[in-house]
Parts: sequence; C-alpha cells; structure tokens
Amino acid sequence: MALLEIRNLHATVDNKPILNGVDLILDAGEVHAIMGPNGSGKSTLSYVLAGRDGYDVTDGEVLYDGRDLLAMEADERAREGVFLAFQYPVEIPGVAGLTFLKTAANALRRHRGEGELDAMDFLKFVRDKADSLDINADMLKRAVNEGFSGGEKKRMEILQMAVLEPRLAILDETDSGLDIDALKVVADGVNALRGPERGMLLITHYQRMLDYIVPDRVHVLAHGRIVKSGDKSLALELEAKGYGEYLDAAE
Amino acid sequence: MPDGSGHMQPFLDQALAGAADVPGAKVKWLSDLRGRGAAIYGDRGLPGRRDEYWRYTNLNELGKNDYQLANGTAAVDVPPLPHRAVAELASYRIVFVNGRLRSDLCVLDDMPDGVLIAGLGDMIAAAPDRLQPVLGQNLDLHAMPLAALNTAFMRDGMVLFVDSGVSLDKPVHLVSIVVPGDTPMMLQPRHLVVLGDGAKATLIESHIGGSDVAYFNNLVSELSLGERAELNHYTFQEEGPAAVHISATALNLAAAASYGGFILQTGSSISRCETRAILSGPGADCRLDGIYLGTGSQVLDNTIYIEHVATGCRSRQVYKGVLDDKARGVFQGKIHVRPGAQQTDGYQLSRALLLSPRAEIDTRPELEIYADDVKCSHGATVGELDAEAMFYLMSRGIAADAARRILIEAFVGEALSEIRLSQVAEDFSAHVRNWLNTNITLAAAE
Amino acid sequence: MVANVDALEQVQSLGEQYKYGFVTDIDVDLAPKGLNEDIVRLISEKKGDPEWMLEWRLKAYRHWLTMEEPRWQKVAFAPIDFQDAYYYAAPKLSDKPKSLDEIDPKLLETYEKLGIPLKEQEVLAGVEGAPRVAVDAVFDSVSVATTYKAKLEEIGVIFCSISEAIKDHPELVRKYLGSVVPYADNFYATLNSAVFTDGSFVYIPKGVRCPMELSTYFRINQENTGQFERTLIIADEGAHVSYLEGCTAPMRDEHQLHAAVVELITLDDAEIKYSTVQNWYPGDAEGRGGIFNFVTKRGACRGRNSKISWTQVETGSAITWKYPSCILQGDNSVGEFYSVAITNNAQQADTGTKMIHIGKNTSSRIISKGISTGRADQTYRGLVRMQRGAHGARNYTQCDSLLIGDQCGAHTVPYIECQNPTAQVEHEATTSRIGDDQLFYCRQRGLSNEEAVSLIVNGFCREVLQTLPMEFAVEAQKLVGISLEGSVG
Repeated sequence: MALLEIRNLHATVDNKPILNGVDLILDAGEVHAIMGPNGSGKSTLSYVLAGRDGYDVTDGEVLYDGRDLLAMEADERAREGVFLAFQYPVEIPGVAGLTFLKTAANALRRHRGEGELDAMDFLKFVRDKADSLDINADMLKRAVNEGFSGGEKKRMEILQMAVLEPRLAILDETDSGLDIDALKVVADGVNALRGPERGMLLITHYQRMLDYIVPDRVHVLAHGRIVKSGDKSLALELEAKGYGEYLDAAE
Repeated sequence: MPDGSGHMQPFLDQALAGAADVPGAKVKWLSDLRGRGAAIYGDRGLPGRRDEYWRYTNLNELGKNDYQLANGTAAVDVPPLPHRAVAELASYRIVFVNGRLRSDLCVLDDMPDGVLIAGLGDMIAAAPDRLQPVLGQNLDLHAMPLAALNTAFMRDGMVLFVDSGVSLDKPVHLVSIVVPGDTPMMLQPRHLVVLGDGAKATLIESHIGGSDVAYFNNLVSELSLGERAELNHYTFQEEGPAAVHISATALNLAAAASYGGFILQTGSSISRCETRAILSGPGADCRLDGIYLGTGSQVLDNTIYIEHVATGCRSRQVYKGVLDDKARGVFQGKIHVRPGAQQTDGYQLSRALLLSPRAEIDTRPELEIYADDVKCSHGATVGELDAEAMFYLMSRGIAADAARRILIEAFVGEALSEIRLSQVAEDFSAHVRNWLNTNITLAAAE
Repeated sequence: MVANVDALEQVQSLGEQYKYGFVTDIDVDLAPKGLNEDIVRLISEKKGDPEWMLEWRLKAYRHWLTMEEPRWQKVAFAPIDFQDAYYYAAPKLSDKPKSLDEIDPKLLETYEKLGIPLKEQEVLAGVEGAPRVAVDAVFDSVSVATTYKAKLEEIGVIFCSISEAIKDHPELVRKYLGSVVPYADNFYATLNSAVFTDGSFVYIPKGVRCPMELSTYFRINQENTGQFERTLIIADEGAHVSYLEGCTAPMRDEHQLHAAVVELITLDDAEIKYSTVQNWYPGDAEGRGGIFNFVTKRGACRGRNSKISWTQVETGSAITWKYPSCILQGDNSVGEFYSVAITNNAQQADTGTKMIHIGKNTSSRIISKGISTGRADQTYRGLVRMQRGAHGARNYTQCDSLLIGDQCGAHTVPYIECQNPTAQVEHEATTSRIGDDQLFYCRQRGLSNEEAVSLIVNGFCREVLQTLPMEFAVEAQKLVGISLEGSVG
C-alpha cells in the first residue's frame, strides 16, 4: 500500500478553483519533488494535505496509509505523522520554542501510547537531534520564530521535523530565500531524515535544492494538475527550458 | 442635578424668548427639533466635572458673564479676513460676522451645477423642506448637551450641499469673525454639509475673534458623506483671548466615504473641539489630526469619539499639543467598535510637550471593542524635548532657545505634513511659526 | 476563523471545570444576618478588639451610611442587599489553635484538597524543590492557622492574622492601619473598615530580607457570607518581602461579596512584591452565582528608593473590580503593576491600576494583558498622574487585549494626567485576536485547538507570568489553560 495516494483532487480557495484533479502516489521510503510555476497550486496542495481551514476540497480523495486523510482534523493528521514544513513559519510571541516543541512532541507521544518526556529528558533528546543536524539548539530558547531570519526559520522547521519524526513530510518551498550555506544545512537535514518508513514531498520552484536532495520522482504541477512526471532528469530539463511549455500545454 | 445647573438657565431663556419670531417658527418639524434641543439641554444643563467626558474642562467661566445673543450687524472691514495664504487661494467664501451671514462679504459666484452654498437662515426661510431630511439627523444631543443648546437656537450658519457625483472645483472657505461690542455676546451658529454619493469637496473654516471682550461661540457642524464621497476639512480656531469656543462636529460616513480633518487650535481662553464620527458604511475611512498650542491660562480640549458600526472601516487620529505657561491641554479619544464591525482598523496617537512647570496635559485615549477581528491601537506620550537632540543641536553652535524652537517646530511639523492642500499647509505652518515666535523665546522648562 | 466560530458553539460550563467548588461541612459560629451598629459591635467583641479599634469601626460604619454605591465602573450587576448577608462566620474553635495539631482535621483536609500546605515541612502542592512558603490560612471570617510563625519571629518578622496584630502589636497597627486606604476612601473600603474580620499582618523590620515567601490563602466556605479581610504589610527601612495571595470559594447559585482592603507601606530602600492568583468561583456559564470581588489594594512608597510591585492573575470571580495602586511619595521610588485577567462566559472585570507620582525621579511600569472570551466583558482602567513635584518621573504602560470569539468585549480606559514638564509618560495599547495562522501552525504540530489556544495565550501573558514567584507561576500557567476551557472548539 502506498503511503500517500492522491486521487483526482480538486480544491478551491474562496470558491476559486486552484487544484483541478491532482493524482499522485508516494510510497514509503521515497522522496518526490513537486515543481511548478508560481500560482500552479503548489502551496495549496500542501495546505490541503495538512488540513488548513479555508481550503475546500470539492472532489477527489486522499489516502494516507489507506485511510481517508481528508476526514481528519489538522492536529489529528499531525499526530498521525503528517508534517508540513511551512514556507512562511509564523511567529508566536512569548512562547518559548522549547515549550512549543515539547508540547507538540508529547501530544504525539501520547497519541502513540508512549510516555511523555519530562523537561530534562526532552532537552537532551532535542540537543542530540540538533547536534546531529548541525543546528544550534539555542534557537529554542527564543519565542517561536520571533525575530528569526529567513534561514533560522527554515532550520527551525527542519529541527522540528527531526524531533517529531513524521511518516509523511511535506516541505513547502523550504529552499526559498536561503543562501547556499543555509540551503546545505537544510538539505543535509532532509537527507539525514530519509528512511525506509518515511515519505517526503518536496515542493519547490527551483531545481537548485534538487542538486542536494536527489528525488526518486519529479512531478510538474501546472494549473492545478500534475502534467508530467519523470525521474530526476526532468528537474534538469525544467531548469534548462523553464515552465513555458507546461503553461501553454495546460491552457 | 448637573453641576452646571446653576447657570444654565440664562442661555435657555434666550432661546425660548426668541422662539416665537425666529425664522421658521411656524415650520413644525423645525420648531419640534428646537424644542427637543431645549428640553435635552434643560434636562442636562451645562456639563460639569461629574460628566465623564467633561472632567478635564470646566465651564464655570460661562457663569461669570451675562452672554447675550449677538445680532450680527457689526461693521467689519474685509482686510482682517484670514489668512494670508488661504486668502490668496481661489475659493468660494462665505462669511459670518457675529454668527450671522454677511452676504456683502461673501464670494459665491460661478458655482457649478449641483452645488449649493447658502446661509441656514435663508434656507429656513426659502426652502426648509430641503433641510428636513438632514438637519439634526446625525447628532446625539444627549451625548453633547451644548449641541442641544445650539439646537434650541438654530438661526443661522452655513449650508453646503454637493450633489452626487459632483466635485467642487474650489475649496469653500467658511469665515466666522466675532466683533464684540462692549458686553459679552453669545453665538450659536449651525453648519450643515451634505455630500452626495461620489461627491468631493474641500472645506476650510476660520474662526477669528478680534478683541479682549468675552464671548461664547457655541457652534455645531453636521457633516454627512454619501457613498464614496470625499471631504477634506481644515479648521483654524483662532478666537479672541477671552472667548469660550465650543464646537461639536457630528460626522457620518457612508460606505467607502473618506474624510480628512485637521484642526489647529491656538485661540480662546477655553476651547473644546469635539468630533463624533459614525462610520456607518463598509470601507469608510476617517482621518482626523490636530495641533493645539496653548499659553497663558488657556484650556484647549480635543475630544474625539469614533464609532465603527460597519465592517472594514479605518480611522486614524494624530494629535500634537504644545503647552506653555499655565496652559492645560486635554486629549480624549475613543474608538468604539460595535458588535459585527469586523476588520476594523483603528489607530490613535496623542503626543504632548509641556514647556513650563505650570502647564498640564490630561490625556485619555480609550478603546471599547466588541468585535474580535480588529486591529486597534493607541499610543500616548507626554514629555519634554529630547535632551539628546537638544544637546546635539547646541553642540553644533545653535543657541538653546533656537534649538528648542527647531525641535518644537519639528514636533508639530510631523502632524502638519498630513495636510494635502499646500496653501493650507503653508498657512498652518506660518501660524505655528508665528505662535512659536511670540511664545517660545522666553519660555524655559527648567 | 472557523476555529473561533466552533469555539462559541461548544462553550461549556466553566463551572464544571472549577476544581475548588466543594463545601466543607463544619460547625460555624455565625453572627445574625444583616448589618447595623450592633453587628459592628458584635464583630468587634468577637475579635476582642481594643476600644480604639471599635471606635474606628464605628466611625467607618457611620460614614458608610452616608455613602452611595459607585456606578462608574463598566460592570453590571443587580443591587446588593447588604442586609441579606452574614458579616461574621467562623469555624467553631475554642480558641485559635496553639499548634497545627489542634486544628480541626476537616479544615486541614480542606486546605490539603486546595493544595495549600499547612504542615511546615510541606510546600505548595505539586512543586518539588520549591522554597518553603509560610501560610496564613483564612477560612471565612477568621485566620485558622499561620505556619512558620516561630521561625520568622527569630529574625523579627511578624507574620500573623490582623486580629492577633491588633492585640499584640497595637502600636504598629494604629500607626499604619488606614494610613494608605483611609476609612472614608470609598464605599467598599469603608464597609470593610467597619466589618473586617480577619486578614494578614506582616511587619519586616529594618534591614531584614524575609527568607521565605509569605502567603495568605483565602477561602470562603459559608453560604451568604461576605468576606471582608484586611491585610497590612509594612516593610521597614531596607526590608524586603515577597507575599502571595490565593483565593477560592465553593460553587453556589447566589453571589457572594468579597470586599477586601490591602495596604502596603515601604519605607526607605524597602521592597514589597505582592502577587495574587485570584481564582474565586466565577459563577456558571449563565452568570449564576460567583464572587463579587470588589477590592481596594493600595501601596504607599513612603521611603526613598523604595519599591512596590503588584502582580495579579485574575481568572475567577463573577465580577472583578479592583485597581492595585502605588502612591510614589519617596524620591526614586518605583511602582509596578503586572496583570493578567481572563474573563470567560458571563464574567466581567474592570481592573487596572493607579500610579500617583509625587516624588522626584519616581518611575512606574504597567503591563496589562487582558483576555476576553465567551460573552465576557473586560475593561482595563488606569490612571497615571505626574504631580507638579514629580521631576524626572517616568511611566511606561503597555495594555494588550486579546479577544477570542465575537461575543465578548475588551476595553481600555487610561487616564494620563501630567503636570510636570520633565516627566515622561508613554502609553501603548493594542487589541487583537489569535491569528488563524498561529492556530494552524500549532495544530499542524499536533496540538489540539485547546492546547494551541492555551499555549498562545500563555505566550501572550508571558511578560506578566514570569514576574510571579516560581511556585505560583506553574499554577498560574495551568490556570490560564483551565480558564479558557470552552472558549474554543
């Protein structure tokens, strides 16, 4: 059984159709890249999968481990192992990153029937994760994302992903706005988290990140549909030719 | 009984005494409206310190004089007409002397179609029906007892009607001049501005008083803006030094209407400029700024009440005050967001500078909010000039007085920069500079 | 948005969440219902007052008869029938127990259920490694136990019930009682002056830094009883004390009045930190029952370089109406007010502070965080006054309101009066709501809506909560979550 199976997914935002029949199958252990021009529906797809309010599914279905993903609330999906690395992580003033992450991790552990970690154990757990990803855990002493640079925000997302150990990770333009050093840290983090049980969707506009994270499959999203799929060479082709061809084809 | 009850009666007596032969006495709705004003004022009396929104402005002064309703026949020369820059500005001009329209001083030629500028007295006599749907409609008399008193009179004032879709080509300049006689007089002018849907106009008001004799100018303006209408409204309050100036402005904004108001107060011994705005249509925008400069024992009160009724409206106020000698400034501003007025954006800033150890500022910004999807904030600061900035200027060889002048001018200048009409901005600046020249050189905060 | 709408559909009774709503069945000594001069004399007699104390009470009572109830506050409630309440209710004890072993086990059990340690080796419930806290436990009208008294006496700290202080330390009480809140101050303070029954008294002698937190725990148990306690804390020159106050009451359908007076005095270089976690019964979702919490709290920084800091976490009561204030008389004195107020369901709160700057270079800081949800209405009302002589005085005020749902109200009414050109006042206020993006971000990490709201609100309040002593901060954070229950779906 596929980890994620998207069938004929249609979705609207403010009654405006954005996704117009997306089909996609992602198996556990695989990393797929979804590429597409601006406005093609990439972020909408990630929000629909994560269950954000205001994104209305009008047709189609999404199976996660064979279960109806769309029937679950956003937090339920998260506890079931769906993780979204946000393109624009929001600031939550006054809430220390460590508190936030501990609350989240313990919500997941409770859900899985595991015991909650106390503050000391959790701190050690997080520090180990951070060290292994070459991320400075001191970031967690500050309020969630507050005053973070773009790069810090993205590293924080990767650290959260490592701590929460999702089965399905969706990375929404995690490469955008990063300089080459930050991009490497993020890519190394993602590569370190690849595993036989875990599937990942990398949503990106540019091929650049795929130099560091080699995908198993590449899909082109245009006008709310997957218009072409292929192996990693497709990304290079897009890099060379641009999206023009797909824009025209889908018109 | 209200605090002021002791000396409310003389005012009311005068209103009632003339009631029978005032213009429009036989027009039923109008005499009903006057009667209602008299009744509400009679009930409340002059506001006193126990009235929550009058705690900082005491009107006991009004009890000291026997103010008599002015008759408006005084002779006046045109040259005193203000203001230098504005006087050169091409405009329609409507002039009131001692509260009465003086046609001989007005400039109302070549008015475009769809625009009416006239005296309220003339309108009452000639076409009261045109007034009926609008006069007194936007005014909460219970909230403004002195507007109720004004309503009991309603003899003259300005009427400005701009029909839907019409843009007035030149500003309207309303000039009120008081030429007191030997005894204290009272004025009760009533102005009415109605802009139809999509209409546009600019209104400049100048309130000038000539002498040291006490007088009481109690004016009310009702401004009503139709959908998408735009009004820019600039006011100079430059009454005589013994004057009591009480102005109540009621403002109603329909959907997407836009109002930009600016008030510069320097005159009178006691002044209160109160604006109550109702943002009744979605997307309305209300901007209201002001500068008040006080010295001697002046009391300058700025009271604003903004009521957000509809969704998606915006309101902004920025007020700057400079107070010298024993002057007292008052800023009261309330943003009230009614249930359902979602996506409200409200902002208010009050900043005041005290230049003398005897000066005082009382500030009360207030938020009352009953909708959750809103962005409302206010800020208030009081303080002296920035010591570091003073030091910086002085270290460049600028004398202390001059440095103070520069910083004060910069302080108020921030508010002046909001004025869109350059002649008005120029005139306001000149006025501010003049005030600083007269008052600041000797002042010392130490 | 959707989360907020769901919220309102699923409003649960807060009453069901209130953990402290039980009643202790205990024999009580009850004065006859109603209020008159005889009742004042009876209370005075029960307390064993000296003559001067009775005279003071009677003076207050006679003045109270001439006063009218204030109505300017933005809260609405049916008129209070002052004759339909008991002004004295005390658990039957032969005398105040000499040692903790003599206390009625039912009382011990009550405080145990409330998590308040009356055994000296214990600490506040659930917090390991916390420093020891001395507790004065006030049950209805009387203090039933005060812990660590003897240990504190060794260093000259007086910590006892005010009744004991009136008998044992009359010179201190006569000097300071009513010196900050005079008997004629306001309607409820005057009533309190006439009928106050107990409360805590603290005196920290010169140069002493009190080695442990002092705390009073107020419990209303008896039906139809008003609680009128009086607290007086004096920090002599160079002294330092941190004092905590907690309160709970059973769930009942009728309202009960709590009209306390707290007076704080700091002399030169002294400091008092006064923290309150107010969790009186708030009434049910329809607004039935709950405590009317009408309290006068005021501190006088009499000495140079002295400091008074108020922190309050207000989650309980049907109506909260209080303004812990500072009169900054001493040059360089400092006043602080940190407040979190949460109103849910039909709760109302009109709270804030007054900072009266009299001395030179005095400074004050006000941080107020208000959260309103359900159909609740909340007002911050504050006065900052810079008097003529307050050269170089400073104030900074930040008032933030958070609205959850569209049926509640949040209001900000600051009065800023400045008569000194060298004084500086800065005031900022904002009103906002929890962002949908913040909620979604939390939920995407696996937090339920309620956990997310609780976390975000705790973050919103952080600046205030972190001023609480550690053992209270943990409790307060949990309380924030509990108080918001039912506010989101």
